[in-house]
Amino acid sequence: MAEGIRDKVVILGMGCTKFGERWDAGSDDLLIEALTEALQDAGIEKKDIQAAWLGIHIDEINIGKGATYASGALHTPFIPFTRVDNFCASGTEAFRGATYAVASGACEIALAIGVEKLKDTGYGGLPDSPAFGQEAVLIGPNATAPGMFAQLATAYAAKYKIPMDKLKEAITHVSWKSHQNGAKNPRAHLRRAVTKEQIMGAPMVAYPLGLFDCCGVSDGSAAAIVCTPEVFKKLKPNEPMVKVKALQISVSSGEEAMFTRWDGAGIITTQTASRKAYEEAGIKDPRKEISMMEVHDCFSITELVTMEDLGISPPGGAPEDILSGFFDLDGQIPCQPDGGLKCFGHPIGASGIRMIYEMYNQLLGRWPEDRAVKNPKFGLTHNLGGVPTQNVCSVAIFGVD
Amino acid sequence: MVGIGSFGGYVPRYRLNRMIIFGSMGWLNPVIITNARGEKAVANFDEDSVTMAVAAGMDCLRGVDRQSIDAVYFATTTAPYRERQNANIVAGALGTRDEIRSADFAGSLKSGTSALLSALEFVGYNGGKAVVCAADCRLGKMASTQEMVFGDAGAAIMVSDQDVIAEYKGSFSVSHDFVDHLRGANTKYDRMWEERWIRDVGYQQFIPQAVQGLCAKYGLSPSDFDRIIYPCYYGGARKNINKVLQVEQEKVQDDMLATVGDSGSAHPLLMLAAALENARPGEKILLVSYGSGCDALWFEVTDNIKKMQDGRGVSRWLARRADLDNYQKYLVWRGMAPAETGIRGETDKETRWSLVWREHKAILGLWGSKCRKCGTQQYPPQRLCINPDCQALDEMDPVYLADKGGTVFTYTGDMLAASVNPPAIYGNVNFNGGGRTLMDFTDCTVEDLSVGMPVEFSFRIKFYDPKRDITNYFWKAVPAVGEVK
Amino acid sequence: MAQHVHQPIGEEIRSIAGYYMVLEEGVLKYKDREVLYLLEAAAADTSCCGGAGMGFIMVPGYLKELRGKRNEDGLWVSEVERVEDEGERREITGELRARHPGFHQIIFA
Repeated sequence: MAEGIRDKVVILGMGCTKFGERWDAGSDDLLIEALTEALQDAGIEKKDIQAAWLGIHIDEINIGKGATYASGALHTPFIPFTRVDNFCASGTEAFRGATYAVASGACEIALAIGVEKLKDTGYGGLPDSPAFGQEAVLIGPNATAPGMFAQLATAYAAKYKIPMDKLKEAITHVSWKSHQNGAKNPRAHLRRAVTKEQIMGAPMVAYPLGLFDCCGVSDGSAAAIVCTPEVFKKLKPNEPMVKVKALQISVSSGEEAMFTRWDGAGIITTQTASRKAYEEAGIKDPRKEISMMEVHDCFSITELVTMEDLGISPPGGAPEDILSGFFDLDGQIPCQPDGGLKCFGHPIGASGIRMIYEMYNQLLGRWPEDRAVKNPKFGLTHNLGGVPTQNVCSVAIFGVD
Repeated sequence: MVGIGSFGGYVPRYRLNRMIIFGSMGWLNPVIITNARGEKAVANFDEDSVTMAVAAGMDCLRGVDRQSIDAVYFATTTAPYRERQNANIVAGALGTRDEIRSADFAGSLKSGTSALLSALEFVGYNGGKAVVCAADCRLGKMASTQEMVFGDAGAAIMVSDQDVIAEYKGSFSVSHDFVDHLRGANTKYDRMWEERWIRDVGYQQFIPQAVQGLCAKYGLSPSDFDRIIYPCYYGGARKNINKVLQVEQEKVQDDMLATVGDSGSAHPLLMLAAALENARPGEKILLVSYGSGCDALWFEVTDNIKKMQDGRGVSRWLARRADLDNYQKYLVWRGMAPAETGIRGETDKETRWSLVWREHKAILGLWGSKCRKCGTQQYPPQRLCINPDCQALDEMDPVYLADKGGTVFTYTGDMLAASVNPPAIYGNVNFNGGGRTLMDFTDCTVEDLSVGMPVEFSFRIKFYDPKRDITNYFWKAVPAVGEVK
Repeated sequence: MAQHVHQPIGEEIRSIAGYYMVLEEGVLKYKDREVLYLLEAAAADTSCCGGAGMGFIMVPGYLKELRGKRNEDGLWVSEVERVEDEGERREITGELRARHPGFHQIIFA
């Protein structure tokens, strides 16, 4: 049994740009902004970084392939710089590269930086690309992400025999809560609270998902500098240490898309990655032990099923937990304290690191009282890339000592 | 004995009431009111002559072993390809063998019966089975008579030397370079000469000429036939032709002008399919086509007919209908008016033919694979078994899934996906017998769908590449006929 | 009995994926009763995966009392009775579609 990376890697510093429609900024500006903040927070210089990983998903916009655009924009001093892409989990994949490098002893200080500059496409939404290969262009529907995730709702309602109205009520609460949290956050893309009436009054975008059930596209960047505990103690003696407790990734086997065993009402990769992550972190009862979460709420229904897939809510029990306020900022396990993808925004390659940024700052008690989670012990981040039938899931757990 | 072994029809779901055309375009050409009665069948945005021919072929070949087919003929005047044999697309969708005869028949509205004659002669000479699939999707300009009269439909006839339901007894043909309707090689819309000339010199002379020629050849009289089938959208001319031939009105097959419209190459075969739905053993049928001349064919119905009167044909498609209550939608679907589909609609989708060839069975015929080790059916065809507990390598047999049907596993109606018929409806379908795939739904609304409901598969246009003039086809899920509310 | 809060006409209600707004309020006479309906416009202009927009008609229900009071945000509140019957919904949908062509969805609150 592999021992994993628990407590072998700590976060030395982090940075995150404001997310949003950054018409003023190119990918290079965003990268510089995120790295500058991370270096300041870490208290080191750029030359101290020994290796770097870039998380980005859409290469067509601005940045091309490979990592030379980023190394050239940041003028990194001839260190290894590697581009990783795994759909919406790309940011966490970059973080995995950096933490594995440190955990292995290959280097002592490493950088993970994610970026996405989507607002140069000429239209709302992600660029049309053969993301699942050429054969899929010939046989697959001309599908969008909302349409693919909406199907979780039809399958969920059918499996648990929940009327669609009731399910809509629960996912409305999910959106309402993210708007409440995002409104308090100066770096969030959308800072506006809405009423449940306004959410319910919106039209259908992809049945049964409405306009407020969907996340948007944003420009933004986030960065994490990680190091060994020994380096941290040398650089920041007596400061609390945010440690990586677990980092697991699970990728679809093709079973969900082609075999008929999957129920369609949850995500197998989330179930798999979270069980491994709890084991790696030594967590026995996540509902009791996890203090807060940033999950991949690309759509409100995704957040709902994720609560069950992570083993926080029992199967079929997420709507009740959600409506009872269990995941609200003042609930038992606040979920999306920063507003999540729904309000903080979703520059794909940066999102995984943005979630870690929120957990890191919450664990260090850096946020003002109105959006601080009380006495957090373990923070969990969750990324889901692709579509329910073909996806990449990452689950990471962080703790403070 | 050589003759008809089976028959099938197809009428697209959407019907356009001709008064809607008149209401939209009558201001320009008021005389079209004279043709404004009834409705016409309109192909969905994802249908064309190839897809409708396949739909009719699927109807015709229900219960027929696809491997037993020796020839596939496709007849149309609206083929999507001038080079790339259209019949091979049809054959691929029908799941026939590779070792078959295939041919396109084109150029005139009698191409449907010309294909049928060739199939009869093929089987007469070689034995076996040949299937003729005909369909047309002709266009008239806005506010034209043709726009009023033409309808979209498909029909299919299987010719066999065994268990025939109608024996082929003989034929007679006349051919004329009579240019009543015309489309040049680069022209989209039909052009016609003066209607009185078409009616009086065309229909009223050539149809009797063909019928009388056949009767003279075999020593028959038109009144010997129990059922007479011929296309002619001029009501007055039909009366005159019946009078000249001295046949009673009730023996003359309804022309479906009020429900379908003139479906071109398919029309004589569509009318034949409708006639066979109700034919009785012993009936003598006379089938006549019209266009650049006429073919006349004589059939005699056998006792086997009852076995094939199982719902196949035209009636169930006529009953499965929805109003197309919007003339502009018709224009956009038929590519008659440019429409904004956004930057996404401009995405360049190149077709990579070497890839298409490698996967052509899976794409054209919805062929999946079935594991010899564990029996799991799967799509697209896999080399490694998808069953996590099996995972056998290269233990697959091909399996034709297009006629298997399935059930809805998940679905959505997506307002964001680029479509000329939003919302785009798609979802996961479980195949009957195992396997699952994500596919488009068509001919339905989101409200028609529910998890677990049965679906059939329909061959449709997947996307059109205007830059290279390439039409790509694939299968979509359609609520099983009888399931649509 | 249910309440309908009148959102200000022409004011965008924004989510991260887009916005919607009420264009016009209308009343349909149906079998001696009055059905309140709202013509609305929506645009998903910054959604993950697509730009789209549509007109839709929201039907809060049968009018019981129009603008009887204001809520804590100062918005007018009307008393309505929801349209629950499937047959009535179908007929009202038909009438609204005929009256307002082009609107994509008709939603009963």
